[in-house]
Amino acid sequence: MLEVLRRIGYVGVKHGCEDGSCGVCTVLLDGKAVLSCVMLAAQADGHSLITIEGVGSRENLHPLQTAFVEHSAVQCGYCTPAMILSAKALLDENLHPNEAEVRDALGGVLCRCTGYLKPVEAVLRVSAGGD
Amino acid sequence: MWSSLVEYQRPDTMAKCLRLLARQYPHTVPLAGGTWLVAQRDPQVEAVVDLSGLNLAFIKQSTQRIRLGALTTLQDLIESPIIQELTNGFLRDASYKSASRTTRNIATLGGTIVVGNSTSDLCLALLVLDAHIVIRSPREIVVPLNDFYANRASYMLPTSIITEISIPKKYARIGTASMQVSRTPQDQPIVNASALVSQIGSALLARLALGGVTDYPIRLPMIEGLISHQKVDAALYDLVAQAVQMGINNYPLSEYQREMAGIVVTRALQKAWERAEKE
Repeated sequence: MLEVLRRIGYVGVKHGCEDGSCGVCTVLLDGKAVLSCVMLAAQADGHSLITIEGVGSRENLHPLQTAFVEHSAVQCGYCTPAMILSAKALLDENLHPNEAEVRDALGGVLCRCTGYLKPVEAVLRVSAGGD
Repeated sequence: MWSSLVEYQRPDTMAKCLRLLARQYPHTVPLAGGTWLVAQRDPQVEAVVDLSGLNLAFIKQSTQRIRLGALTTLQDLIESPIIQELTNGFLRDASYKSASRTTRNIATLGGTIVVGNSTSDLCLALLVLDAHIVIRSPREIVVPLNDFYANRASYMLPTSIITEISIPKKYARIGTASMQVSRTPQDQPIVNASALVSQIGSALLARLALGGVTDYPIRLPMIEGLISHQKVDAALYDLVAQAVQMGINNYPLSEYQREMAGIVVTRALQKAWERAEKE
């Protein structure tokens, strides 16, 4: 699924480990965060699929994207699309998660830069209605 | 790129699925969530049969048993009120520890059992819960999970699939616990153990499972028999630790693994007993 998405232009889906370890290839399948590098493209047949390209726009950022920017939750940025999608999946299901739930949602995306502190703060701010 | 894979099928009936798996060419395997199979990219695999069209994702209960479809995802287990109630969340917690959220959203119960990672918390929990699995190949057989792991090659033929897992609801006043040793809390365990204790007066019936000492997770029926109906005290725990170490004496393990195996089983048993006493 990862290779097909990137081949047809959805390069916001990042290429990391190819074995489901790092999470940067995360997409939303029927609203759930899943790893596109360990799924076949055909498995998405009949399901809805959202990549980071489908979240917000250059002119109109999604509240999570705004919060990530304003909380300095982006450093190299490679894991950010996956984190945004994972957070979106969480908030679409649970508008007011606690910190443990946010950490669980983001835990599938490996980040070597931020230590997760700022990304977690950004998600909690959005869930508290800060945006 | 999985260059050998040339065919994908998603049958809507079990009969079609089994016919596809029975083909000699192309070399065809079943696909559940795919977190293990797709990651492997086995060059001998030429076709996959996606099982998601067979309605095998369910969680049901009767008065006697809980029935879990093999395509139930690990996250489905965590979110299920039936599973949350089962043994005070023991199976739910084991599912939670198994993998990150993004993996749990697609990894399936059946796939986890087939992969049979030796230190899988979920497999250990199912072992002590006396889980049975239903295998279609194409005849249907029901096998205790412990027996499945001990004789996996004879049960998992190329044309077989697991369709269902069932857990008896027979225990009252039970305690459950799991213990592990790992480099960090998030790491794969070096050794881990699960225990289920059912209290009868001051004596116990125990189910013990150990991971990390061989290729697959194992039950410890001999030690369960040894301590069955015995009084629970410090001497019993010493006996368990020694019995575990003796039982794994012939496995190629480091001294550290051997010693820790006895300790994690004992501690899991101890904690499970404490919880049973509180019930």
